[in-house]
Amino acid sequence: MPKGSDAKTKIISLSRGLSILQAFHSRQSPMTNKEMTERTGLSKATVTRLSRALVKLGYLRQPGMQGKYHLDDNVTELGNAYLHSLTLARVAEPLMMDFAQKLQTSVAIGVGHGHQMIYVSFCAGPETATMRLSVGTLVPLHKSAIGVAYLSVLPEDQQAGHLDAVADYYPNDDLTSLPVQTADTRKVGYSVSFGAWRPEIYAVGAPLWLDRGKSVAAINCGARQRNQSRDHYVETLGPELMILSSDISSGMDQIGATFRDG
Amino acid sequence: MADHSEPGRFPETQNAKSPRDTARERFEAGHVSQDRHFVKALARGLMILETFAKSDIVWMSVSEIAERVGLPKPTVVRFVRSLEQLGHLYRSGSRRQYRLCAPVLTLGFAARMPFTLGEMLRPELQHLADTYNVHASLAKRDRLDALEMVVCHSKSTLMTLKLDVGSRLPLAGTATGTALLAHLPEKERDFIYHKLRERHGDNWNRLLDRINAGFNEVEDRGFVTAYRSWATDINGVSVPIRSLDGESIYALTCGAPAALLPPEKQHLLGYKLLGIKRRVERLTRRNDHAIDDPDAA
Repeated sequence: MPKGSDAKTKIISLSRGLSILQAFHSRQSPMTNKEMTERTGLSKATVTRLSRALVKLGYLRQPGMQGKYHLDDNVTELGNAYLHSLTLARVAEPLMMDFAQKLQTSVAIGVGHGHQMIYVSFCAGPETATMRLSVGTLVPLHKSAIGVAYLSVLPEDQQAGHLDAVADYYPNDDLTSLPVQTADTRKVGYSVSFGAWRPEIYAVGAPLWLDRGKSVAAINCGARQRNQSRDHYVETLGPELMILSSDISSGMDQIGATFRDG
Repeated sequence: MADHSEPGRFPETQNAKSPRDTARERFEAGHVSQDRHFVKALARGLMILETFAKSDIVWMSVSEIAERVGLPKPTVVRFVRSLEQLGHLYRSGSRRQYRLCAPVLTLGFAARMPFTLGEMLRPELQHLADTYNVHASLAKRDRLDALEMVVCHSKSTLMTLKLDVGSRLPLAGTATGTALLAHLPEKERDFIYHKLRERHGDNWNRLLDRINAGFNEVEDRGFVTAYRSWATDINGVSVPIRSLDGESIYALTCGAPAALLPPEKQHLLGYKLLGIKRRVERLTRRNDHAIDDPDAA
């Protein structure tokens, strides 16, 4: 191996390898090497090697001869291992489920990662199963109620980090209204999105304080817009979501469960 | 090097490039080293993440990780730092330990989850549960257990069966378990039997008889029934079904307290489950054609 294998090249090599798995998110279906090449920006030779390696490692499989690559079991195992360690889900999901049933929405908890929010917990309501959301769903941070709610309470340096990532990833998006949105969210306690992410989905987001206020995540509830008017989101769902958020926070604190360091 | 000391064994002409020379040239030009570098880094990074999945331990220090993956500590340090920077590991300053973090979910997790067999089947299973007052579930094999992936309850089974997503049932002696074993390649089945024998000891022969009887049922009519299995008082009926890519076997099961699921009803539900299986298989075949890609190189 060349001498230059310092920390920086290591992280680059690793992140490129992992970018193949991440590419499946934007595509949501099996891919050929060629498609992976397009999506990752890696050379064809590199992608061929990496996908072959991922097959050996149990992350991809290629059912037909020279066919498309599908995600394989280890992808699920890794995600499940994280989810099993998540006390938050055990505390929050019964409460989220009640909420989803009662108010006919889906409910999700997410955390920020670069330009996106990652759903770490999700409950579908009776009418929302077809929205095709689940744990692990990635939504653009700046275009979602949950992302704006999350941003609104982050310390400034972390907020700036996320905004840089958003600007990098969406160079054509106008981000000037974001500071207004986050300020509004801090004032009223929740954020709303009427179709900003997907035109058919309306959602409300609120910050979720954890670890006795030391960590933050965000929670949302949403449904297809045809079900309810905007007023319903602002007047009913927003305040209800804030209550749910604080119920989850206190539920965690009561049993001494922590999110980050637990 | 050995080939040079044995003249005559490799009758190469002087001007033809040997594969090794080509490889060396590519390496020196930077093509290969980069690829290899990526592959190695990827394999090690994933190996470190997997130790957390395999060990069921939430927090691990660098030394614990190093011990489990069998790599030198300095190497592990570099990798966990990279993984931390990429967000996949979180380091607790107070514990001086690492744990998996939410971004591991970006490594394909949701892309695999949503449009799976489970999503496809859930409405059908819920319908069965509601109509026939049973629980209806989709399970896969995880080592020596059946692991519930989708569970739909009816009002009467919600309280009586403590079964949920992530619940585990024994493979031996349950309808679900038998369905999961039914279409396994012989080698894999032998291995599992070996392990099950260790687990069940003296009961194994009796359980094996039951499993074999179940295989016959699957052969004859496509589903397997079980009476008062698992906990004690549960009847079940189960159908093996292939995953959407045809690679792994899942089990579609209906179950209920024995009094609520007499044999006639078991059979009826067996045929209902077979119907679901056929519908899914039809859809899957259609999908197969849809995803055939002429560009696939």
